[in-house]
Amino acid sequence: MNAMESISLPALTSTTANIPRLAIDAANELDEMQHGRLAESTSAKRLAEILTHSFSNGSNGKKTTDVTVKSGTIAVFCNALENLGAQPACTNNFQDLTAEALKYAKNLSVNPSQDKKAFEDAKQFCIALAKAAAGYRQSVISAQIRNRGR
Amino acid sequence: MSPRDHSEARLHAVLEEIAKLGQSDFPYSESREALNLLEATYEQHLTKLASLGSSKDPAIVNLYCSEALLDIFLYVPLLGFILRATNVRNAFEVHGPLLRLAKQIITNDTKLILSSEWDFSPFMFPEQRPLPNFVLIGLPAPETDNPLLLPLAGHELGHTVWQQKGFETKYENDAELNILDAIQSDISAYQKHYPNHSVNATDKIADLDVNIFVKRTIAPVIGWALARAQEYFCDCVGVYLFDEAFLHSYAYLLSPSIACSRHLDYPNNIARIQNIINAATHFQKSAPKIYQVPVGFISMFQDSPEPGDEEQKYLSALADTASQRLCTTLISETEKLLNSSKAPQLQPTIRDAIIGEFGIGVPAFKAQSITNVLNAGWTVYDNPTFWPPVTDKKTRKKILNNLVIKNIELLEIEDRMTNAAGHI
Repeated sequence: MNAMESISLPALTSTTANIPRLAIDAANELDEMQHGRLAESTSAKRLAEILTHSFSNGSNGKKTTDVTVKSGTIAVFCNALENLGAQPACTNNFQDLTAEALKYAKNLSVNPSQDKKAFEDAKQFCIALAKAAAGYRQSVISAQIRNRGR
Repeated sequence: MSPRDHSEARLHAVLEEIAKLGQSDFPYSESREALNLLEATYEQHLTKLASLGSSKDPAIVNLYCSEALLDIFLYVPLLGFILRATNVRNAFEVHGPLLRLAKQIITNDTKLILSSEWDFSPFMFPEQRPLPNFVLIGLPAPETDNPLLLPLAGHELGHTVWQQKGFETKYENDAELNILDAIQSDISAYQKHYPNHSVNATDKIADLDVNIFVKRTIAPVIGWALARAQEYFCDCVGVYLFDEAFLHSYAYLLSPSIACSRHLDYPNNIARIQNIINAATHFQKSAPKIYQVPVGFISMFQDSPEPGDEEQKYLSALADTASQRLCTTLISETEKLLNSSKAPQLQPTIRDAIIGEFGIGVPAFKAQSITNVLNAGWTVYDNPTFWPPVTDKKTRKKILNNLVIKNIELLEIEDRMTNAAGHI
């Protein structure tokens, strides 16, 4: 069991985890690697860990008291795929979706010299994920009226 | 000009404003510290934008510009708050006692900024990102001289506890399971609104849990359920810390209801009051003499209208069910947490002693906590013949407010003297 499995990860829609910022940093660092200005991306690695852990229940079984994959995570991931405009992005096949998520998680660890296309896909995925996750943030108007004592 | 140019110009403008604000006289050091942290947040955005070379993918540059703009929208109101916190109309007397309470139930390095705000509801800024360990509470300007509403700050402290303890993540799974269970128990209602979501009459939670259409539909509903659960939790914190005074101040602020539709992030009034009563009843089990609920309390409130079309009402009802099912756990969570932090509870004998002193028009020594003072205050507020010669309601309220404020001041002086004696 790795360290991340011992804690509950927030969904990609979480208001406390700053997923949009993490995904932007990952995209930026991958871009730097593409241009030979950075050796590795810690943000992409972290994002890959979150994706892998979030979707691992979908392929590895789960505790009976847990949902398979959090709805917020599914929603953001599907929106990201739709932002990418890739193939029929989200069908209702849960296993296919899980496999797709784990594929992107794996791509986030690819070195540009190994597979240029997978690397570029990973960067574009981070950009799409950043936009999708930001779509689940509260609007600034809602944020201003939240947490009134009423 | 590019979005990046505009973004940098906006950040510079905010930083200049922060520099001007830095020249203010602050009543306590937390305000300046918060200002410095906000300054660092905007500086970081500028540094990041400056680090992006001219060949950088424009999509990435724009995303960073958008993040910077979001932080401007989110935190510029904090700058105004920090400025208004310096205004002499603020009740500086209550800062010390509330800070001590916050430190006791959150962490010892909690920082508190209080401000009188032009907003008829106490509120707090929920963002922890630039200001970790800060609690910023706004109190309604028309009620600045009314200390009897201070128990509502207990609710606001609850928001910080919720965030610091990571309760959103903790209860996310349960909220989602509750929603799936609610859908399963009335599948036809879901099918009516979403006939093309491949949901069958015999589907169980396990089937719904792997239905991508269902999952995407309920993603925002879980957000509402968690936001409502947070409100329930914060009310429990308010009840635990301020006892009956919390109920009175809540009723003062919000009864019977606001004449507009409910906000989807909040429970409706009756469910909320029922949770407050349930919390008081639960806390009473280990403290039978306190946590009394005024007779007919729930009848002072009415629900606000539900917004939206039938589909939205259906989704909102799912969020209600999910959040209400968490209430029992949240009440226990509150008790466990505040009990372990040794948070003050009402001491009826001290409250009664304070009432005795109020009767002769003086604040009481050794009140021990603002909970005792505020509950004494509400007992007097509710008694029109407490000072027989004072028949005018407004005059009585004014005398009472002054007495309560003076007693809170005395409490602070006593505490400082005790601390000073301990350091000698």
